Amino acid sequence: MMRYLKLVNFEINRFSKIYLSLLLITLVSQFAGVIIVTNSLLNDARKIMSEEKLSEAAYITNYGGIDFTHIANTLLFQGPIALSAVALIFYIFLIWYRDWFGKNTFIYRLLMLPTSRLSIYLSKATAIFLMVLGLIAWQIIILPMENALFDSRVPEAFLNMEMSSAGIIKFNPVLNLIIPTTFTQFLLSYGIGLMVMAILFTAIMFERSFRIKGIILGLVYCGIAAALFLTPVFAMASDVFYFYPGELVGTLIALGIIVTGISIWLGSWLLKNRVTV
Amino acid sequence: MKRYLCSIIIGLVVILSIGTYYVKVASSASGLPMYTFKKLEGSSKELDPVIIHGSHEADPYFESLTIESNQTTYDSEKSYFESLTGRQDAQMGRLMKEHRSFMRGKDYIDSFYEDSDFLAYASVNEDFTKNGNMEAEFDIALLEKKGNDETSFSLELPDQVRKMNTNVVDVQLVHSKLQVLTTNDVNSNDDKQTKEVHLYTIDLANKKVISDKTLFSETYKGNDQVEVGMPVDVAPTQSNNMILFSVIKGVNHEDGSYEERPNESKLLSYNYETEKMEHVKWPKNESLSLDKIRKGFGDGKNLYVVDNQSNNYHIKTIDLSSQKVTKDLELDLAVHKNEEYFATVKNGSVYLLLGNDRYPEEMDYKTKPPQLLIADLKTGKTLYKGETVIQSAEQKKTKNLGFYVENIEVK
Repeated sequence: MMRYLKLVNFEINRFSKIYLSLLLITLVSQFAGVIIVTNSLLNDARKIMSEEKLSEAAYITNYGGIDFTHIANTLLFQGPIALSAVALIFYIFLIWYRDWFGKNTFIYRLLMLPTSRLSIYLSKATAIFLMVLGLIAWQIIILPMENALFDSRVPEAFLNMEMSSAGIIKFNPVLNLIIPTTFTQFLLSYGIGLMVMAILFTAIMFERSFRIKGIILGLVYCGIAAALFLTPVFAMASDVFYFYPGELVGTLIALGIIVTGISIWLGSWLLKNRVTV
Repeated sequence: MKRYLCSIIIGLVVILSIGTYYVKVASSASGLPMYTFKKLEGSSKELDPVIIHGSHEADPYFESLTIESNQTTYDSEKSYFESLTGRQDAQMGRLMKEHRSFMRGKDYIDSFYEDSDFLAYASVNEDFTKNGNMEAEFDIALLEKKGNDETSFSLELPDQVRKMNTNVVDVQLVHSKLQVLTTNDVNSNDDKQTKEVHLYTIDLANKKVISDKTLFSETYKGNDQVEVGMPVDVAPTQSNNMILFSVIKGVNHEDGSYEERPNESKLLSYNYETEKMEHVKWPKNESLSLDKIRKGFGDGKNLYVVDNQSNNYHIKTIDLSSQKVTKDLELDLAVHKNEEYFATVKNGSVYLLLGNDRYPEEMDYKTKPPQLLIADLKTGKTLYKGETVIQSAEQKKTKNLGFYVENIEVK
């Protein structure tokens, strides 16, 4: 257990510089977004008001006021979210391959450790998952601050409404994707995320075990895992069997747990018995 | 310990921030106001089977809610698994609860027939082949309630080359033969279009379509339009001798506007027992437009029509066999301009719910609380009258407080 935790910590420390940069980029870009976009929206409004000689009230009835949804849809706001997502997806692969291709083939030392190979596998998975959740937590922390800054910068006459964090998240497709509305949906979404990560890890293990042939094996494995997980959806789409909504979700959860279990078992088995340095 | 600082911080931040966020989201739902009906008259017991769907306008979005047996539940309060099913017709909900395995994959209450011994189902399954032809078949299912025996089979839809689409609008079991009434659009190559109503008789024992009767067929062309609709069936799954359908004719003008031709529109009835088709007429002196009639409620013998032409709401009963207005009852509910009303007829009572002024003349959104009246269909006597009251701890915090009715259902 201690060795597993040490390994998790080790993996997080190894990524900490990039990770901190991601957090910082998100913070700076989103706050800049709030300030820049608010200013330009207000400037545009004032310009139109002076050109068409409208009073504030008349402008609001004709063009509508502004609210935080205008901010949340901009590149400055959503860009860092996309960047972080891409970086972590990329790191799912890099977390393994850097050990092989980095300076002085680190995997050699890692595999020589007197610890079970399963903990190596799990520590890498945990590190990535924890960092993903960390980014989500970061967004949840800074969103109310950005919202408060926005509310303070917009004159009351132009403000459609003061939105709550939950309201902003509900209205923005990207935010709603990374922070689902209910806790159950949160567990389901990130459960699927875990499963996909386990499948990818196992595909990587196939490649590391059998090289070129392993790439094909890995792809085949991804296909089989996806097909197994989605069996009830296919059954319903082709009218073979109709599931009530609750049953469908229940079956998907059960299959998801099975697929994740098989992936972890197969991945760590390959790591133990087949992977070569 | 110091070495683990990074991981510990991430772990704590994750748990605290995500945890507090979802706790806050969950508790904010309980801050929404509760709507209940305050009794003005009658007995509150009458409210028990009433289900009202609506929404509470809370900036920046609407929160859907249901008042069932005078208890408000918000959709957002429901658990994820409860909300999966979505909003469901009360009758479909009951059938699914009672016959879970039989009801698997079946939908639309009009496709069902139910009596004390049987539950029957008929629908048309349309598939388009690669060369664009339609392949349609009947999906028939029968549940014998006593032995819990299920039979289901598919039958080819007769004469399907002609048809563009087929809609099941009523299913009856008459003398152990299944009667399936459908509305159809017919294929044609020129600019003519045809609407038809078909009655298929299906022999359940021999699994055969034994007859295909065209009850109604109307061809029209160009800008003309014909719509076939049904007044609401009070008990769509139950045995009924008679089915009503309205034929509405109109014309689409060049400028895009539509004009109905009330003189050519009509109401037809078909009797399953006597196999007779009739043109339903009603005394012209009654202020009943066809528009009102087709929004009426039929129970096989009578048609109940809500009339809001005078000062108070009226409920008129048209006897379908004698084609006379047999009752005209004045209800204890005043008519207001601009006010939407929602009505339903069930268990020998009429349920009338007055919604809010959605488009008041002076854009003055001082909404009145919705009013509900439950009255006896035979006597017009008020069984219950009440209006909504709001109970909310944080009432003043919400800027625009409003309750909008979407529909009313009775179990």
